[in-house]
Amino acid sequence: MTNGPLIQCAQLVVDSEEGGNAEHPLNLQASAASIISIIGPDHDSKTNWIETLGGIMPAESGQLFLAGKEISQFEKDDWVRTRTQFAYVHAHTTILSAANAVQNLMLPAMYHKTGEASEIRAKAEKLLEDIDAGDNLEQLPAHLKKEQRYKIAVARALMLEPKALLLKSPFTALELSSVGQFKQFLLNQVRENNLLLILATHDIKFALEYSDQIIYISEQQLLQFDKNHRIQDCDDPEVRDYLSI
Amino acid sequence: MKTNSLTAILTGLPGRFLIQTSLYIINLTTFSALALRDWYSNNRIFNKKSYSSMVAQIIFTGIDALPTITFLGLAAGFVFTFRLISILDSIGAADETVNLLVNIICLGIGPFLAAIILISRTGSAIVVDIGNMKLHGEIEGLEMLGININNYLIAPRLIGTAISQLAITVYFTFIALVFGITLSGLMVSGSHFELLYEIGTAFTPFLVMVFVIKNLLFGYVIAATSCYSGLSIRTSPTEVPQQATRAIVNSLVAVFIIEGLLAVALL
Repeated sequence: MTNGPLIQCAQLVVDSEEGGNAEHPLNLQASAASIISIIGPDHDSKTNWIETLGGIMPAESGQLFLAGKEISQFEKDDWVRTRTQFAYVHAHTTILSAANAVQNLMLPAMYHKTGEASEIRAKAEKLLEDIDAGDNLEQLPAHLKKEQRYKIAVARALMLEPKALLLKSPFTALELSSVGQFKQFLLNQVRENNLLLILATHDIKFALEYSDQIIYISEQQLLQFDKNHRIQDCDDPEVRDYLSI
Repeated sequence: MKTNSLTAILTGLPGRFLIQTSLYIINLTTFSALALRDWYSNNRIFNKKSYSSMVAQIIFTGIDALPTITFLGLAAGFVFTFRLISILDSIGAADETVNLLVNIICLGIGPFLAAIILISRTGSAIVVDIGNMKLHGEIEGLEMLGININNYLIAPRLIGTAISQLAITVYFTFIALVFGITLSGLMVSGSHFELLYEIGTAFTPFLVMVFVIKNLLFGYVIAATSCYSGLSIRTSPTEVPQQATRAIVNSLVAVFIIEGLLAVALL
């Protein structure tokens, strides 16, 4: 347990072979109950950065601390704990095809023995209701809509009550009509569960409106903004062009 | 020049084959040993999800296969047991009947046929199941949740298949012996019914141990080969049938080798 930043990095440089901007290091402190958006025109760079910050991709250089511990010092158990505390979901994350929605949600909690089966089932059903996963959830995933499968994947990641949720392209799998409700669900999770939410997103409006920090990444540069140093006030022509302001 | 390169190819073939086979055996052994180590170090006993995964494997491999095993047991009873008793009777070697039945049916044909059923039925299913999970990113999704694949997917299949192999061999052998002896008792001589009792007493603790070890080993190797092939699938759906075929062939070869080694060891 740590009361400091959940994610902290110093002079972190991503692996250039995986694509993206490798020349510009990142210094970041990300605390609970906050939102960080990674935006920019280069999709590969955003993917590379969010996966590196989540401890999924190895960094080329620099230091990354997850829950207060530098990842080069991680033992095997630390990695398991990290994966339960720093959940990562992308638009194409697949759920188990041989299990229905509730069973999919129950699996990680049952595996990690977080409680009794009846409690876990109740929690799974509540999460599916909160996230508005839709009808026919007793069906196998192949019979569900893409949006439902995505919401189930996000709900499954939240079953372990992670400290941080990292979402890549969080709204692309959703139908336009349910994007608003899903955003509200994420905001509730941040407020009520002190969740650190990190998004690699194209949704500039959401990023501008709700983010505590914004990381802008392109092939040329990596810029960081927060509420005191707003991206809307940035003079860089590339950024202004990207924001269409 | 052409002769030299042809010679190089021909002499290189056995070397490459030996290296590839050795590496495959080392990889397979390490893979299955690591799976069991992870299971043992994490749980000592299965957690609920791994346990239910193992039970599902036993149900699929053992219980769902019962109709097929029953049919093949009856067929083996007629083809092997009945004919063996009849032939030994006709050549005046009836004294050796019990010994031969125990060695040929219980320790030879029974485990071997059960293994072939397991390879064709369970082995291919494991490859397709794990392969498709890998292909569709389901395994990656589980790992992202801190779920150890060795613990949740591989170890239950290794243990479940080994237990199932033992169970279906006991069942198969029982049917093959009882049916063959009954048929022989009814059609050749009523005295042949005594063989049922004699076979029961002929099973020494040593033979029981060999029977158990052999079957557990067969099941373990079949599951390990299949899981390894399933996880070897990377990006293309065309790899699924390729790896399924590879697993079937490799399992058959492994079973033959184990059978041969045990036969030599028990001489």
